[in-house]
Amino acid sequence: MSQDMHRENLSALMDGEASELDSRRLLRDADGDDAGRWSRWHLARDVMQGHDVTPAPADFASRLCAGLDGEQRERQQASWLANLSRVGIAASVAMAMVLGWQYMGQGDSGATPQVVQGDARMSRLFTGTELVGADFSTAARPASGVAAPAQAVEPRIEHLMVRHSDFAARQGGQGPVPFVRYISMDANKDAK
Amino acid sequence: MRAGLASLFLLTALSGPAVADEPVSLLARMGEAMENTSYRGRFVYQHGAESSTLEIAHATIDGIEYERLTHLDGQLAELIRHGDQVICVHPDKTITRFARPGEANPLALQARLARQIPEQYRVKRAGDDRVAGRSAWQLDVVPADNWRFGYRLWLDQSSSLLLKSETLDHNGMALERLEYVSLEISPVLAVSDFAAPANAAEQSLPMVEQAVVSERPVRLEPRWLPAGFREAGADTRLEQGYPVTARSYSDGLASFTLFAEPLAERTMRDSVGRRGPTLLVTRVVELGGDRFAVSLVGEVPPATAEQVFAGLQLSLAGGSDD
Repeated sequence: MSQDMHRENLSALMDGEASELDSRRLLRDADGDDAGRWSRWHLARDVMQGHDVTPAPADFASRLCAGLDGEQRERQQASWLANLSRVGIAASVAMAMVLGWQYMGQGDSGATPQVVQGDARMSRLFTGTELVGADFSTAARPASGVAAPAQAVEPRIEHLMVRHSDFAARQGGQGPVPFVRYISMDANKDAK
Repeated sequence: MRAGLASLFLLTALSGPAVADEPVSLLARMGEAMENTSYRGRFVYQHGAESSTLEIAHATIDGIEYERLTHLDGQLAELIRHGDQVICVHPDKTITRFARPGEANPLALQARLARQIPEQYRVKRAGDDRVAGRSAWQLDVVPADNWRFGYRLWLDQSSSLLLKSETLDHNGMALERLEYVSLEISPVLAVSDFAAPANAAEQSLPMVEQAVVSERPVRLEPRWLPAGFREAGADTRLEQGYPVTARSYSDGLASFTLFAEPLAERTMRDSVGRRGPTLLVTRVVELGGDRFAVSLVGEVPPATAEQVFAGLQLSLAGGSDD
């Protein structure tokens, strides 16, 4: 692929216009230059669009590279954080891989967390929300459409969730919002 | 402080909704109003492709705070709060009940909202809007770093109650949205409006003293926290017979909780899940020859969870720190 075309594809990825296939290939082949380019372009766009610019952590680009690198040799990485780090990186750059809660613990791929495509972001449902950044949700949407509403939730996860919600609600910053998250999970699970 | 806020509230109510207040004090007033106002309303809660309609009733009767959240569509699930008692009514009609002693001091909360939030977030007025047929102030709560999410909040101009909220990632994408469609201030509510329904079976999440359990609970010591995060609570509870230790942290708006539990004979594998803004990470670790599951649940970006895990120190309570 020529350098120009590569940059064009990277730009399309940033604008949410890259196809799923292109996104995956770009992620696979991205190098250190791409990481630098990615953060410079984001910064430039944010400034141009008059958005508040929140500086990325100093080591963001190197962590992105490490994460992308890790993508290729994940099996060699014995560290128990390797997979988490990969997940963190992917989410940081708003990639198509969005984790679905409903897939918790149902994986069959050994110690590797299930990384699934799904639409965990609200994007086009509403008008009035300023949507900054790329909308990957369309490209990432599974062929079957939206995720099935009812999914099994382990009792253990329910307990962690309700205890966390209680701690969070006691902070009071957002009133009942933490409990709302828990109730919506409880109501949308499979009946026990 | 309480009297001061009350008179400030009165002053605003008398002088009408056009008063332009400091955004930060609006936020402090919201925290106060969410606790002390009686209200009943319906709202839509959405994240991803999932959408829920809920009803809320909230009142303080004889000095006790009552709250009832009811899931209106799909399966019935409810959460009822009587002061420090939390009752979860599940879709299969079973109930989980637990106590939360040591209610946070409201004045401490006010002080926290007034003092701490400016350090970690910039709060800006973003104009006026209408939500649920009511005039609202819109606030943008912009995080000062990438370790936490941002928020857009719509506050009722007359009551300061939260009418709408969005949690935003650092690209400004909404990860969840809560929006009232109707709200009634100071409705007539009695204790009977917060009664728990008859139930099939009940389980509790009892707090445990460390000496009672045969399994030794794990002590969690995060060596790294994002700026502004402080411990917001800790306890150990029995879940299905296992002591699960929790330590929660908050910066006043965002929270995450660390959990540790002995696995004994159970099998569990590393996993990562996400629901709207909520991240759940579980890692299986070995400590003193035994296996433990360490989890983080919270509304923080994945990179924050990663850093917290990287700095996490584990030790066995009541034993040598190996």
